[in-house]
Amino acid sequence: MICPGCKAENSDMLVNCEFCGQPLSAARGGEAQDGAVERGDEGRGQPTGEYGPSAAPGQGYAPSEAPPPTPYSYRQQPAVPGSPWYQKTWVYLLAIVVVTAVVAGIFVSRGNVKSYPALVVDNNPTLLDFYTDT
Amino acid sequence: MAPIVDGLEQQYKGKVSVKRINANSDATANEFGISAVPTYIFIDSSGTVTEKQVGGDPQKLEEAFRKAADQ
Repeated sequence: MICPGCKAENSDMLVNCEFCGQPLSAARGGEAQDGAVERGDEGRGQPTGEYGPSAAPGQGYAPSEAPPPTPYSYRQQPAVPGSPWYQKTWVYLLAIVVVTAVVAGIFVSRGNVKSYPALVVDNNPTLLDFYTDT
Repeated sequence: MAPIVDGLEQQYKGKVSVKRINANSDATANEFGISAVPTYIFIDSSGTVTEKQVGGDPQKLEEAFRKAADQ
């Protein structure tokens, strides 16, 4: 069901829009005005027999099939002010910037490590003993 | 500290080498920024500094020798 306020798609079971909180009754009523019938109302107490031989008169509701998922229901939800942080683009941009900075810092710090191979004796770990003769 | 260093040099001979550097006359001392004596700097076999000790602490020095010998 489309919210008449923010145009976000909501479940048909909801009374209020889960994004902006606006009542969905307007949208629901609009559908009803177009001739739509509330789910489960069709055939109540008025069996017509058009559902096959198993639908005997007086058995009540006819089974209703769940509507197949349509591409429309998978579309990206519009960002509204109350949306959670993980739906905000800047969070992911910030995370990418931070990770890039950390990786760059590691490479730079590694590059600044000085080495003194000329002071190595006999290719062994070497102790440099600084002394003074005064 | 010199006798202690000599003893450790003999004890870890073939595993850890010792290079004595005059802090007053050798340019290496300036390169390492030596401001106090004794100062002991360990470098691994590739020449990278692994430990620096300022002052004479025989126990710390022996521990550093042991770690260097294990590399």
